[in-house]
This record gives sequence, structure tokens and C-alpha cells, in this order.
Amino acid sequence: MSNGDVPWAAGEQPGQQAAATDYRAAHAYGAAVAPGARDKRPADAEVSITLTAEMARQFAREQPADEPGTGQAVTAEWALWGKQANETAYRVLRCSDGVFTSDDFREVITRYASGVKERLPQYTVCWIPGAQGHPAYLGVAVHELADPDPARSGGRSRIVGGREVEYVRLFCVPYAELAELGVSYPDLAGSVMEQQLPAGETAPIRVAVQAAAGPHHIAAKFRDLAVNVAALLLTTRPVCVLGAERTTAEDRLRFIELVMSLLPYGMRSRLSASTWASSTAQDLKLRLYFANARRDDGKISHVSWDQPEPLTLPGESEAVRLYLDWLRRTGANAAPALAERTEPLRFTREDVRRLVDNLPRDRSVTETLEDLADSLRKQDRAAVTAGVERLRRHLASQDDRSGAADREKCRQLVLRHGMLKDRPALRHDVKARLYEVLLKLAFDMPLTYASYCEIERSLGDPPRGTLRSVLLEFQFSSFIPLLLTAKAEPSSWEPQLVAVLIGSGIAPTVPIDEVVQLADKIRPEHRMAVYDFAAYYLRGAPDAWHELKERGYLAETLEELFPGNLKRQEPRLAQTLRFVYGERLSAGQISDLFGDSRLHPTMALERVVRSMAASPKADREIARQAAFARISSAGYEEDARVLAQGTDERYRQPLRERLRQLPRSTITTAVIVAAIAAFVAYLIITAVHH
Amino acid sequence: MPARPQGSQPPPPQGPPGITMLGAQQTGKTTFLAALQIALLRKPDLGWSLKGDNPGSTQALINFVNDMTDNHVFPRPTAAIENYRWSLEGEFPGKGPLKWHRWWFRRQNLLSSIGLDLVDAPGESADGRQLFGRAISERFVDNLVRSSGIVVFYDPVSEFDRGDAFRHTFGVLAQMRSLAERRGRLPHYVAVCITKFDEIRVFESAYKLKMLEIGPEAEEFPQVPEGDAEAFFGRLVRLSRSDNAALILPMLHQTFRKERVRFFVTSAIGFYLNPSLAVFDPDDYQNHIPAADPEPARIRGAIYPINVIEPILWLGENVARTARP
Repeated sequence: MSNGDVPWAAGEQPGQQAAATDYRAAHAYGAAVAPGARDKRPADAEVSITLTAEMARQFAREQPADEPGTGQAVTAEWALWGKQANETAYRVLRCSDGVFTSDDFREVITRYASGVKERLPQYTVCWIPGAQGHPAYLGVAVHELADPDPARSGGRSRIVGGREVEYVRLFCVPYAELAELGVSYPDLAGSVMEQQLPAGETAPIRVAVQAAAGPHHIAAKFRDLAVNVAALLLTTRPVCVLGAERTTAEDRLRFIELVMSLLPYGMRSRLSASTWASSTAQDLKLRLYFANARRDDGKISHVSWDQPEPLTLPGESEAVRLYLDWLRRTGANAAPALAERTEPLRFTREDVRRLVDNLPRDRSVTETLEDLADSLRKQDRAAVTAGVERLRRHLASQDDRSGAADREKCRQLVLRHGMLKDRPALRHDVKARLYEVLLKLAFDMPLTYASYCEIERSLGDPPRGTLRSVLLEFQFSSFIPLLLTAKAEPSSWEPQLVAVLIGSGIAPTVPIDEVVQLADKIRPEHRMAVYDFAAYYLRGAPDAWHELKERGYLAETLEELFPGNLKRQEPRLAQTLRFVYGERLSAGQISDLFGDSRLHPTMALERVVRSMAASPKADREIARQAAFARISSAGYEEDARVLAQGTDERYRQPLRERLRQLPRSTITTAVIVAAIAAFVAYLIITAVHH
Repeated sequence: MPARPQGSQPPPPQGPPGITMLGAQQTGKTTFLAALQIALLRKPDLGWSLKGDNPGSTQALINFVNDMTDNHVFPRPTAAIENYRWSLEGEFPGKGPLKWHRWWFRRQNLLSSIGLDLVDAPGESADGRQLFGRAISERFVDNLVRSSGIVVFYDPVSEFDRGDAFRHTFGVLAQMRSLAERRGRLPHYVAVCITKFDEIRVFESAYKLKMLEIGPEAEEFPQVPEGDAEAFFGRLVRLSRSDNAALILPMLHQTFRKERVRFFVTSAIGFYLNPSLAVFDPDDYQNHIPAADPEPARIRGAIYPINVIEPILWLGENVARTARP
């Protein structure tokens, strides 16, 4: 199939070349489900739909001008450690000119050196205490080789003196800034990843903190191990994780974050950890690290990555045992509560005892939701922000075992308190995070039509503004909720949505089949939009004529969607028939149309056919054929056939009567042709005579 | 600046007194250690074998051998102070104590073990001009003071290009002396290794100085006899880019007892041996393939270490004797 076969690809929507290319794949998918697709494809299809990047940008542009995207950002001092092309010694190649000097950066980097690494990149996180009026800092170091692509290497040489150079990009951020925003290690590392630190720059950089999309599989799979490691860290001994060589450095960093999410946030102010350290490195200054061999100095606790073992705590660890009990009892609610404990804590016996004495009160997610609803009512921005962050952390620590019952409770709360309503007093980014976390807590993903209806019912209106933008970033189980969300604000949404569906591999028949299947379940106020788009999308099929005929020109679907409402049905049917047959229907076409057993001859169809008939005098014939088609459609096909033949014979009209039924234009044409013929004959006869 | 984390004063190193590697960066310290196991396997007649004394050291041993033999690459540069705890173990038939056996006294097999507590640090940590890192440098000097044996690496090729050997030894030795509890020369055993003998410039220097002899191996590898090694060192320092290199020898003699300093001309990877010839080819012997960005330097063929066991064995035996009560 060529793109030219698809009307949108052929020119209805310029600039959609990429989407049209994907559309071929969509048809392959369509072919795979084609036999009986309308019966087999469930409404909540497994193929979920997400926005393409282009469409997301388009929707982002649709945001109101008074809602600028103001993300969270932190200030980072930075240094690049490595070698110049003509040097043999590692040193600070360049650094920012803030609080830290080049010597300070050198001390931090060499202090937390983790030895030879078999693979790069790796990550180290560390702490730098405050002094002399300066705040405490947290550091994240990216150990890496220079990118082979000169455009991405930041002017660094990959090989110096015959050896690969391990560069370190170190970013130091005030602890207070990170604690206020509750930034995680993977988010911080991800946010600085693209900062290549080119030569010539010396100013500290402003880093926009990018939050992870959602819970990672590491959080679900390794929570038990993380609980053990968190407890072992509280014994004040360093912990070494063995056997994680095959895991990526990014996943190891996520595990470090998972462990630290089970301890008060304030303990990050004293944590140094690395995704890899040499087992033979002397005097490692790391509290938590991954390695490939056990140390036998008796000062380090070891755990295995893939082989969970029962936790053995030293005899004098009563406080740690109490903490462990609390952690296990509190479950997923522990992390959000601990994230709020941002006052610095050390890994010492005194601080651990202090921690156990002041364990956060168990605060469930539903309680947090109640608090948040209250804060929204009072328009307390700070409390709202704190509540949202707490829920986000709860979400991040949630594992797959979180049941449907919890979700149901959350949904009831969110809907009952109208928490998804527009909040003009809040900033756009706060609102976006609020809606995102509420939707994730309250609804199953991908979002279904039923979920959309609940959201709309709770709002009293279709979702607009920030909520709509957030919704459009989710996955949808089918096209109906996506369509309704996209259409909630007036804009040129149809072409974009077509591109999204094509990009998602949705065959042209899928939306209309979904409408056919769910016709009686779609809420009346949604029916027009849903039908119109599905029909529009179907008309883009290369064999749309055949598909429409297969579905009886959608007459029955329209009757189900708009029962008895001829004003709604007729223009849509007329559009369909015009698409298939053109402006006028000949007697033969009418006969073919009503003779098709797949047709359900509704009143609207009959009226539309009558209005489109080439002869205005064919009413009786149309009424007769429609009547037979109805009998046939009701299951009496044979009777209808016999009846039609008998009627033909009995009601054969006299010639004059039949001539009277001829269209006036036909008679006029015939008279003119006869006159011309007579005139020509006269000329010929006259010529022969002379 | 923000304060240094608490507890930044390094505690004294634990474990028995060991052997510490001292040399500028890229002088071949880690490669030398990595070649130790291969060297022992090449010389089974010596009766010594190497084993790791802890899991990390064993793993490092395995990685070194795999990198150099299978992957033909040099070990990664050292980024922190690494501590390898290996043991030389030997079984010598008929060298043990006399024991009554049936109707007569008979000598038993001698089982011997020499613990090697080897400390390898980044060359930068010994740089007297540019501080690498306060904690790491202090720890390194502490290691040197506590160790009984020191391997000093002198790379004539780097020295010709950079001339930084003196800079990397003088400061460290001065600090060692200031930290030493006793007066006079330090009691350490020092093996001065003149490295990269397989490099063309070094080999040709030895050839022109008529200091070569054919080794006892079947492959007929040339070597500089141990008796000429100090003289060879004395001639090589004259080729240094820096005038200070000539001061290294007097400095060593001032710092350590002369009878406890020995010189070895070494090569960790040895000469290239064409498998079809199976003997040293003076026209084709370079085993080191220089780096070609983005590929790092590589090892061309099989590894035949030269004088790698000898300094370690000598130091190991002396360190073991020193440690004995």
C-alpha cells in the first residue's frame, strides 16, 4: 500500500510523513486482527495509546499563556576531573568558581575514589559538610569515558598516554536545596547527565530537576533486600552488595535510592555510596557500595544481590531491630514519612537511637489524601506542595502488591473531594504534579473510558487546562478516552489525534468497531464526538467504501447512538453515502443499497436515500425497497424476496404511468435528442431529394 | 570551602608490613603486578606459585591474567590505593628437615609460603609538585613507612619524555624519613626496577652499552645481568629529560642501606615471540602496540615477563624474615 492510498497521508494533513510511514505497520496490525476484529477486539484493548512527542509538544503549546512551565531547579557547583591530551596525571581540568575551589574539588574526588572499575559509567554520591558559614553539600559524581562522538565529548580525549581516561564529572548541590525538593539520587544524576561542562564556563549551573516517570521495577523487586541493607547501615558498618555485576549502573543507583528511601532523608547528608568499588581498594570512604568480591576484614556487612538471605544483626543492635520492625510494619507508608525527615542525621549509634525514639507516626496514603484535600480547600500552597511530594514518594515506594482496594479508596477520596478540579491559585508545575500523582493513585493504568467518565463527572465538565495536559501524557486503553481528552479544548486536535493513532498502530477500523461495540455504553454527550471521529478515521482506510458497506453504512450504529433522533442521524448518514456513492443515488444504486443483507434500513437511512435519489419521483419505489429491506433485516429474508417478486408482477404499472414517473430532466433530454434526430433526418432527406 | 568530612585523618593501615610500589604514573607498576602470576607460570622450575589470600585479591589476580592473556590489554590505571594480598607458595623436594624414615634419616619436602602484601597507588599520589589528594597521599606515605619492602619503578621511556622520576621519589622519601621513628637510614629493602626493557629505545641502549646476555630460557631472550643493572641505571638516568634524574641514585643510597637496595632490569610483558620461530628475533621483538585513538594500547602476543618474579621473591623473602619474631 502506498501513502497515496491514505487520504490524510496524501495531503489532507501536510507534515505527517512519519506518521504515514508508521501507518503501514498499523495496517499490518490491522490485518492481523482483521478476521472478526469487530467481535474479538475488547473495548479495553491491550494495545494502549500514548501521545507521540510531536503531539505532546503540540498540546503543550496549547497551554494557556498564564500557565508557564516553571520546573524545580537547584544550583550545582561542578568540576571535571581527568587528563588533558598531553598530560599523564589526573587533575581537576576545569571547575566552577563558586564556594568550592579547584583544591576542594580535588579533595572531594580523591577522598571518595572507589578504585579500578571494570565498566563505565559508574556513579558515586557523597557528602561535604558545611563549615565557616557555608552550607552542607551533596555531591553526585559521574565516572565515565569521553564519548567517542566529538560533539558529545565536551572536548575531552578518550585515550591519553595509551590508556582510556576515566573522567569524573562532579556536581555539588547544597543539601538544603535537595532536601526541600526531596530530590532522589537517580533524579539528580539524570538531571546533570547532559551537562558536559565545556571549557570556558566557570559559573555554577542551574540544573532543572527531572523527576522519574514512576516507580521502577527495582523498587518492587528488591524492596526486601533494601530493607535489610537499610537496617545494616544503621549498625554503622559499611555495606557491600555482591553479585550485581550484570545489573546496570543506573539500576544500582536506583537501588541505593531505594535503600535511602527507607531511612530518613536527613541521613543522605552523611551518605557516601557508589555503584562500583574495587574490592582491593584500601580505606574506602564509602558507606554503601557494590563490588565483585567479599572483604575479609570483618568491618563490612555483605549482602547478595540475587540471593536474599535472612538478616543477621549484631547482638547490640536493639535500636536497629526496633527500626526494622517499624519499617516492615509500616510498609509502603514508611518512605513518604521518612522523606519528610530532612534534618541531618549521622550514621552513629546516638543518632540511630534518636531516630528510633522519634519514628514518624504511621500516616497512610488515605490520611495524606485527606490532608491534601483540606490544604486544597484552604489554598495552602506550601501544604499542598508538601502533600503532593509525600504522595509521590508513597507512589515511588509502592510495589506491585498494592491492591485494588487501596486504589478504590484513593479514587473515592479524590472524586469525593473534587481534588481534580482546577486550582487557579497554584502554579502550573505544582498543579501538574498534583494531578499526576492523584491520577496515578486513583486510577488503573492505562486509563479507561470508565475512568475518564468518573473524572468528568467529578469535574462537572471535560478536563481542561493543566489536568488535560497531564492526562494526555498518560496511556489510554482505547481511543475513546484519548479522543475525549484531546477534544476537551477547542483546537485543531483531529489531525494530531489521527497521527497518534497511526503512530500507535491502530487500524482504521478499530475505533469504529469500538464505537459499534460500546454504542449503548457511551454516554450520550460523548456520542457525537466519538462517532464523528471514528467515522472520519475509517474514511482514511484504503478500502473505506468496502468497510462502510460491511458495516451497513453505520446506519444501525447511528440508530443505537441516537435512537429516534433523525436530526443527528441524517447528516451523518448522508455524509457516509456521499462518500461512497457521490452526490446523487441512481435507481440501480438504490436497488443495490437496499438489496444488501448487511444493511439495517433505519428510518433515517430511508429519508436520506430519498433526499439523495436522482429522481424526486422515486419515493414510492424507495419506500417499497426499504420496506422489503426491513423485512429482510428482521430475519425474513426469503419472505421478502418472494414478496418483492410478487409485488413486481402484481403492481407492474401501465406504460403511461411508468412514463409519468420518469424524471423531468430525462424527458426533456429525450425530447431534445428526438428533435435533433428529426432535424438531421430532415436534412439528409432534403439532400438526397436534391 | 565546606569542611572536610569528619574522621579524615587516615587510621594506620592494618595487616602485616608489606611491599609498596613507588613510581610515577605510567611507569608500569600495575602491569608489573599483573604479570607476576604469568611470570611464575612461565618458570615452573622455580617451584613457586601465587595465590590470593582474600576474595578481592584473588579476583584481581584472575582479572589481571584474563586482561593480559585473553584480551591482550594492559590493566586499567590505578585510581585509589589498592592492596593486593597474595602469597607465594613453594614446595621444594628434599629441602625440608631431616626425619627418621624406615631405617635411615631422610629430608622431607620443604613447604614454604611468603605473604605478599602489595600496595599499589596512583602515580600521582607520589608527585611532589602537584598534590593529588591529601588523604590519599598521606595514606600512601604511611604505607611506605610501614612496609618492609619497596619496589621503585624507573621507566626510562617516560623519563626521557617527561623527566619526573626524581619528583615522584624525592618528596615521598623525604616524608618517609620525617615519619620514621629511628634515625639513620631507613631499614626497608628496595628493589629498583628499570621497566619496559622490551621497548626499542631501552633495549637498544642496553645493546649499545654491551650489557646484554642471552637468558637461560629456550626462547633465548636477552637480558641485562643483575650485576650490570645498577650500571645500566646509572647510564640511563643521563638520558633523562630532567637533570635531576641523576640525583635518584644518591638519594636512594642516602635514604636506604646500600646492601638493601638491588637493581633489576625488567619487562612485564616481555619481548614479542613469533610463534613460528619460537626464539627471540632481534628484528621483530616489540610486544607493545601503541594506542591509536579510540583504541588503547595493546599487547601484541604472548607474555614472557622478564625479571618480574626476582625482585618480588627477593623482597618477599626478606620481608618474611623481618616479620618473623
